[in-house]
Amino acid sequence: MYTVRSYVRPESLEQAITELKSGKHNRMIGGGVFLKMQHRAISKLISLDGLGLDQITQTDESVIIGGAVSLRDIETNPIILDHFPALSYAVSQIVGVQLRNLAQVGASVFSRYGFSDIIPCLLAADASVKLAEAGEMKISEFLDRERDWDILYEISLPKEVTLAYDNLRQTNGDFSSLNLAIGKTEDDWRIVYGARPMGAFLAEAASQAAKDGQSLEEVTRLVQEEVPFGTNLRASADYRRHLAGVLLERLWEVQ
Amino acid sequence: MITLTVNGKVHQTEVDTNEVLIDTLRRLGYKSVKRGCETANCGLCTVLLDDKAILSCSLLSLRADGKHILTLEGVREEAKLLGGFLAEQGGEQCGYCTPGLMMNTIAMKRELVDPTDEEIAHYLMGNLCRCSGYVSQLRAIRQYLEV
Amino acid sequence: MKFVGRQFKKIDSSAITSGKPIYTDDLAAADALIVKVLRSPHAHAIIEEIDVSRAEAQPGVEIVLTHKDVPKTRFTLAGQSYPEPSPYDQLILDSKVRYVGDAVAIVAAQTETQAENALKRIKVTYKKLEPVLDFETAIDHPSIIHDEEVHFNLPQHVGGQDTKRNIMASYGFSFGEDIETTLADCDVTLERAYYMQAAAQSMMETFRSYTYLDARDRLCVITSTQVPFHIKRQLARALEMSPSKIRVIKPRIGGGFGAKQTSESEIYPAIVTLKTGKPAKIVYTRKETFSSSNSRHAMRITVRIGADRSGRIRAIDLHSLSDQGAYGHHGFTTVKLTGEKSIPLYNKLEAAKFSADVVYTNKLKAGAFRGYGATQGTFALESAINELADRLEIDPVDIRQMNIVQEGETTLAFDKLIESSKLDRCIETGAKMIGWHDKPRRRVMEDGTIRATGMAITMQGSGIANIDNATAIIKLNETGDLSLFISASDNGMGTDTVLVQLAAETLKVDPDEITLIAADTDLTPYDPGSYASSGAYVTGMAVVNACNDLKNKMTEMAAAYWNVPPAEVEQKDGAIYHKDTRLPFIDLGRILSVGPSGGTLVGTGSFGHPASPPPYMAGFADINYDPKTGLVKVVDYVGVVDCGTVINPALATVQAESGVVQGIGYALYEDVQYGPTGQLFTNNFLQYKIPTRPDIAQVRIAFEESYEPSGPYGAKSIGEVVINTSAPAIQSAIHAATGRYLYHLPMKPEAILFGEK
Repeated sequence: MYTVRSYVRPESLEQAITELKSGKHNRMIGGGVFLKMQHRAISKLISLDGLGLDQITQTDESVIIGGAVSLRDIETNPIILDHFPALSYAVSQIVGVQLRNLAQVGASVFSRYGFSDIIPCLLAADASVKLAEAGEMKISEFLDRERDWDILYEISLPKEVTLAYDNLRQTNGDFSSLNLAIGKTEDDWRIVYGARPMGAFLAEAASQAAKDGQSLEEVTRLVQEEVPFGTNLRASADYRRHLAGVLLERLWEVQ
Repeated sequence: MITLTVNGKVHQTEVDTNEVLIDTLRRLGYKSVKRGCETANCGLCTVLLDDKAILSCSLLSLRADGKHILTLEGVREEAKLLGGFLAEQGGEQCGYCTPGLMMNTIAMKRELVDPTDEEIAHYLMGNLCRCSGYVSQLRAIRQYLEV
Repeated sequence: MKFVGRQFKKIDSSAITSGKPIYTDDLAAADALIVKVLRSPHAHAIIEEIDVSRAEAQPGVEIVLTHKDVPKTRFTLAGQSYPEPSPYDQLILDSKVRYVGDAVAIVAAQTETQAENALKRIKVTYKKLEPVLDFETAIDHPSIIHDEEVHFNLPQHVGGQDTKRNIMASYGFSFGEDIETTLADCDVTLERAYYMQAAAQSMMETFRSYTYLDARDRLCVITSTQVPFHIKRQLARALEMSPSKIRVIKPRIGGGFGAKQTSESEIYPAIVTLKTGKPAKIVYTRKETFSSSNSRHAMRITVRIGADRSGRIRAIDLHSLSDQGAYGHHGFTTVKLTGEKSIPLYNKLEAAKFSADVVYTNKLKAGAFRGYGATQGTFALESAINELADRLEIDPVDIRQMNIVQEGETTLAFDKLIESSKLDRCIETGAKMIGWHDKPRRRVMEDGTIRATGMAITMQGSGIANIDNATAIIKLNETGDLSLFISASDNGMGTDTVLVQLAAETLKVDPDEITLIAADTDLTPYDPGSYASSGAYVTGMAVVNACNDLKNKMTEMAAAYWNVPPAEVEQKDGAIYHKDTRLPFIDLGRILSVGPSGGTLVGTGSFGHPASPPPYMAGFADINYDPKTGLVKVVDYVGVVDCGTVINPALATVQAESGVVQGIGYALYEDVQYGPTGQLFTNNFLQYKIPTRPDIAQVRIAFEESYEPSGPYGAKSIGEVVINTSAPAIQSAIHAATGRYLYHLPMKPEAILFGEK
């Protein structure tokens, strides 16, 4: 458990970012579930409670998810179920309802956890994120950035993308041993692996090959060649490389 | 000073900035709320916060200011019903996970319509139990959902 | 029978399901000092210096204790009857640490935060020693884990201990003909080594204890334990004080599964309370529970079997190497069960041999976990029997029916007279329920996954032969109701309820008239505690004996009152009868409460037995295997149990379901991984995965009741036997599905798919 000197509930995003930057031991808090497992001394803990960022809305082109939306809301929201049922499924596999009712998507994505089930979906959907300071950018750009003092307050997913997601877990509610998200539009494929155990990775050559109409075998070969896999308590790199093909085959059939 | 409405009763209480809701609730006498881990896996500490099941071990008490909280002590009728079914099956066992399981089951009954066994298991995935092996609890929960 | 074999809710069920404050931490005073323990970051090290001055200066800190401040008498905290077969090899705090997580210092403060702040400010200088982390190379390792003088109650020629060689125990037994000659003469022999991990009991309530001084300055310990009497005796030794000054009380317990058969947390608040005079409590974190308490013994078991071509098993040789970890809790006894509760399943044997080595390592100490060695032994032997059956092309069901021990036989191995067994019926019924003979053992499903079946059998004991002895006391109150005093230490499974049923049956009285008072060393009679599958059997018989004693006294009293021969007096329905004259208990109580001829009637009964009647079980797994991912799901599990008479069907069923599911976790999920310097990686529920609800599909339990003549109304035990079959039955199903035998637990998808490294 962390220790906190003070807790702040700013009245605007601007105020939140000012508070955040007022000291180097300040931290944003989402649901606080994963933050709780970290042993750090925090001067000021800042939440986005009450800023209206807990809404899921849509425009003609996009589905827009506020940074304070809970994972459970993503799972059950009709707009998400309508346009991105795979995203709903991806979050539904995380630990339990009670955790998902607390955990917030903005903080979860901002933390760039290697085990994330959400980030691969966002990367495959070529989603955009809005940061209080740095402004709007593609999720890919966000993932490449150095960690900095900012607030991720909105995510938007283009409706033109058809998203598919699958994972392999050793037990239900565990972290994924590997997950895969595929985003397809009329003229594009984006194949993304997560929990490798490192963070989400866009397999560019494989995506291009899929887009060019190459066979599953060829795309699998490319995935296994270009995606780096690692070993942790859950699985070895070799096993993950093998699973990468299995998951691809599963989603390939669904498409 | 924060204001919590617990089981309909209003409490005004000083809380430390580090305090999480489970500790505040236990300090206020709601001892049904139990803790089984530090990693948000076990679900023992489940309470309803504004009608949603949450992990009271993970929420800073300050963030619960002004909210309504329901613990097992506050749902007597439902607890008696569900508890009766659990006891008939012998599924309550040591009982340490029981309050959290019962609170999440009550939340499930309010939310899901006619769930399948798989849907029940998935909804209650975050409630660990080591005594029962789960199947007796499923039998009891099915009976409870049918009432 | 009116109460035995009938459905009864647990007597504590309404308190449990309404969230009443009945557990240790619920009962602790709000102003109790919070006790925390500084844990060693090193697997093997000498504490050269320890400076607590900054910790002591922290606000709210009451006391800080190091090895300099504690008694120097070595002891064991393994909850076993005196003289314990576990060595006296530990101190409250030692100048040497022997595993990552070992205790270094004790802090007590007003609040948890203050205690934690103080821990951070203790400065320790360690001299690191080479740790012994691999149990297969522990013997004669250059590092000696216990180089101090260790006291063993067991003579060296029995226990075989040699601490200078890191050997905690080493012994063996031979039965029948010479094993080597017999094996050499067999048509088929098989030799295999199996590895079992140090699984964590993972009860939902972590260790916790609360201590205070009572009005007469006696140390009172309210604690989450399975063994209150052992704790009282052992605390007295460890704290160098008279046991008359200690009282141990067991409230409701949030699960134990053997973990709480070792006194883990009591000693810390106890010494704080003694030194400060103030109430104190400790609540272990989950991380401490994983990394600083006890686990199952990791083992390597080597099995050699010989059979003739027809499938008759002629010889079994089993050698167990057991990883004890840093301290010798339950080391000698656990390993014994690997042989004693497996080999006697088979009784066409001409030769049998069992030998064991238990070694110290610089890892978390092992202790008791449901099954207590029988689980490891069963996985090894049953897996080997299944492989032998495959080799002989004999159905695993048939090879069992051909070789198992029968009721009335005396086993060659360990010389057990089996007075009750329906093991043959368990196998038959289980095979029928799973459809063993109705379908091929391997079936390819439409989606390309494979369904496959496997089976195994097992036995356990009921109490410890010639060691366990429990006493029960039952008192007729002046209001006609009854108080039953026992100390069986129910930790959730419903022992208390079963004991009330037995009392009600014996006294022919409504169970609601009986109040059970349990587990307070000041008030209730001696009982070793809740372990060795003894509750329903040992304490159960003590209750029956106590009730019969009371019944006799009541009959005599009533006969004297009526001035009729006792033989004409009968007891039923909460009253005493002489022909048509009825004397309700309440009236007898009133008569006894006044005047010169009054007096309180108390029945006492004890029970100990020269044998430990084995319950039996046959387990059948039906798995779904995904040949692409290696993932296995147990879609159906059938367990058929012979626990003698079933006293409470719902509670017995849940025992069996629970054991099967813990066994599934042990077989497939519950991985234990250490880092290179001896730190436990799998020390929380994020990393140590016990089964969750969606992991478990169908579990079906049936009973084949034998009648055990020495048990209460024919009952034997059920608590432990039920965990043993899952792993070998699943191992056999995996082989049926894949053609691959696995020799290491847990059987992870990767190993199933690619083979073990």
